[in-house]
Amino acid sequence: MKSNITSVLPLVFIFGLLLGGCAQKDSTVGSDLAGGLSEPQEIFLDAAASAFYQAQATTGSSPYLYIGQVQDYEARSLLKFTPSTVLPDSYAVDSISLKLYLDEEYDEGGQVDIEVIPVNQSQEWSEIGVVWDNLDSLELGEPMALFTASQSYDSIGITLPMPYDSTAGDSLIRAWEAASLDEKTLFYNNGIYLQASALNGEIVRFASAEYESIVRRPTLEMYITVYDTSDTTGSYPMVDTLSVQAGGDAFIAHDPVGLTDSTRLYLGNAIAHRTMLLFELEGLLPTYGFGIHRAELILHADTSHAANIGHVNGSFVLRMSDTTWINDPANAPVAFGDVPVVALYYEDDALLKQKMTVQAYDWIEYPDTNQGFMIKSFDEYLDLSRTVFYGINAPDSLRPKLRIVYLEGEE
Amino acid sequence: MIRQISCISLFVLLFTILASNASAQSSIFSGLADYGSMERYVGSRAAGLGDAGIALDDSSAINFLNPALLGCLNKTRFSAGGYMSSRRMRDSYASDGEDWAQIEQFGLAIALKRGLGLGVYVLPGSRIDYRYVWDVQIDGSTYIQSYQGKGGLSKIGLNLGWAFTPWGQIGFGGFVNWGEVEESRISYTTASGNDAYIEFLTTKQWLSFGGTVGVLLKPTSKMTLGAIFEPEVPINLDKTFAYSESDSSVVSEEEYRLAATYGVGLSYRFSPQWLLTGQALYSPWSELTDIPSSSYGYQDAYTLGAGAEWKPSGWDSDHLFTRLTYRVGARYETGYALGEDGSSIDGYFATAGIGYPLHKGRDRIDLAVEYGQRGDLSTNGGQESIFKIRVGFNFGETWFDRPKPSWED
Repeated sequence: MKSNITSVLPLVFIFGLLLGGCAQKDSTVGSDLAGGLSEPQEIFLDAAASAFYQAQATTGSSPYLYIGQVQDYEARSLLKFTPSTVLPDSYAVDSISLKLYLDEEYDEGGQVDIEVIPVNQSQEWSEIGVVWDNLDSLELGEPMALFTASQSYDSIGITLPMPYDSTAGDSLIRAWEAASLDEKTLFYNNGIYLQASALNGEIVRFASAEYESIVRRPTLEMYITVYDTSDTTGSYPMVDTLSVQAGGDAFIAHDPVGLTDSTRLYLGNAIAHRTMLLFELEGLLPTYGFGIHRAELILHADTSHAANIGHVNGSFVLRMSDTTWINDPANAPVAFGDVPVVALYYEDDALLKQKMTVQAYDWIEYPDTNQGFMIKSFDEYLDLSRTVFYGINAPDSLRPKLRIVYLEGEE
Repeated sequence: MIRQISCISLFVLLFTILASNASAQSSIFSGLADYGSMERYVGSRAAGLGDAGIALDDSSAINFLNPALLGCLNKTRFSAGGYMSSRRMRDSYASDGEDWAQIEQFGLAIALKRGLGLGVYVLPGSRIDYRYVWDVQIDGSTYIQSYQGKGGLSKIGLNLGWAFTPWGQIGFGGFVNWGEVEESRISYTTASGNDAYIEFLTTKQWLSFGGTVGVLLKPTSKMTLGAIFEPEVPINLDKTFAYSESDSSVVSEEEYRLAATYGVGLSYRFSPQWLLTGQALYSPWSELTDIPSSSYGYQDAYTLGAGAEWKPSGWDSDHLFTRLTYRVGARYETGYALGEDGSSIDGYFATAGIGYPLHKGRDRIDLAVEYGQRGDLSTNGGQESIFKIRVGFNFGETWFDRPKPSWED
């Protein structure tokens, strides 16, 4: 039995290694035994401050063109064509016609008398960026056509017989063509302006150049005679009809009255209503060691409020750089940087639930960064709409709330 | 001899690593308190006697509970062993079973001289292995909650025992309790618009230094009395807490207390064949104030054990069955952590074992089986039955006893 222990030790050690880690507990039996374990908590916070303002949003990407009046809003539309893309080298304009299609989906419009005005040289505009205040209506010229549009129509053809400038002896088409050929010319192409000749509380909505159905987009039809001096076959002169769709268009709107009910909060399109809110999160949770399943802003819509115009489709939020928005919301700086998280608004629920998990994390961990946030419609360019929400002084169940479902990891 | 010591040192190190890394099967109640389920391994012989080993005089195996017993060793002893277990768990909703095997104990004791022994050992101190899962409904969405923990304390110690008279031995020990526990807290949901996972990870590293005093008295040739005392000691906790979504973590240091342990035991040899033994252990956990919070609080912990040993013959018997030593015992224990509604989680265990002598009775292999139940379904909300087979190897040889030179050569 010489060196009994040292000879047995390796065997025992190997035996131990073999035994170790044969299995691991993966059963959940006994889960009810331990009480007092933390569970996700749900809290609702009231806003400490709120504000709102309205601004004119650029609507060049909208698939619609509005003309007329709804509530206090007034809307007009701009159209621009570039006929040089389809015109031949030599031609004579016989007549031109503007073809507009009503939006079939829109059932709130009425009947509006509309003036067609050529936009003069001083009123240059671009599809993206133009808003009501960019155009001075006092400098607009005289209407060159007048027509009546009703939402019950499918489409309207408006003959534009008047030359753009009778002294120039040429037509509107020739002027627009010349303006777009990069040649030295006195001509310009600022398109045409469509406005209601009288405001009667009615509005119509046309399909725009971004309308889903291509055939319903605004079209300029040109009836011309084509010449070709080199032709020896006798085919020319030839009468032809050419058409070109709008290369740019937008509707512009303004609200001369403004929002009068300060007990509510608003989101809107075209006349963009933007709401700011501040929720105090400092001290709510430890600055480390918590997890948030979801933080969301809950806004209750006041669907019976007279200021509703249709409804917005949803929203996203932007953080504010400071709290100057409390007193001067329209000019307060916005802190960009977040990836926008879009929330959808469902009119039937009258609820807007805007996810704000990332922001809530930051504001709990770094309370100094909480300067409030702006919530705005995610498609302000889209249409003419406004949704009214209850404000911070509304009954508790209707107030804006920040709901947080969170879990604390360690005391 | 230097080679032997080096070899032993290496294996002490390896066993230490093995013990500290072992993820032992543990009780479903092990998540009720941060220390987990306390374990107290006495010895391979006591394992068949209801763990009643404080007063169990034994020259063949190392007694890990009472350092005074090292005084009775007459040669270098080595003890190592492990177990295989099968655990069946039940709660109000389901039942499940798990099987497990691992090395459990390692000890080496050197008889420095007659009546003076020095021992080193590695043992489990406590075990944690729980997984609690439940779900919560919030605003119509389901959030699944998971709480898991794994790890525990290991114990490495150095004992010294001295037989200061033929009827009395005293022993002192020092030990280190250390270990790591990893806990994860997960909340999960599939609810739309939610961040699906929240996960917190906590790593707890425990370190404690403690000591043991033990005595063994032999007032008569048949009776042995034993007692031990482990004073209350501080235990340091280095905790690293991390939220998995963040690349940062929080490290904290805290100090808590481990309760003292008082133990007394008695063994009485009625005849050369029969021996009865019993012991009681007591730890006043309820008195502690510096102790991690638990779900339902703490109570004083008791362990009562008793057993009987029958040795029909000696190692030189012609028949295998009469060479063996037979043991039976029972153990009752109360957990230090309370269960739901402040209920005590009690355990009842029956044990049986045999000892197989080797090398003319100088060495021994012990086998023990244990079956018992911990907790009660109606009182504690859950219960588990445990069947465990233990094997312990006890070998010895003479060290530090240089043979006399033979001048005839």
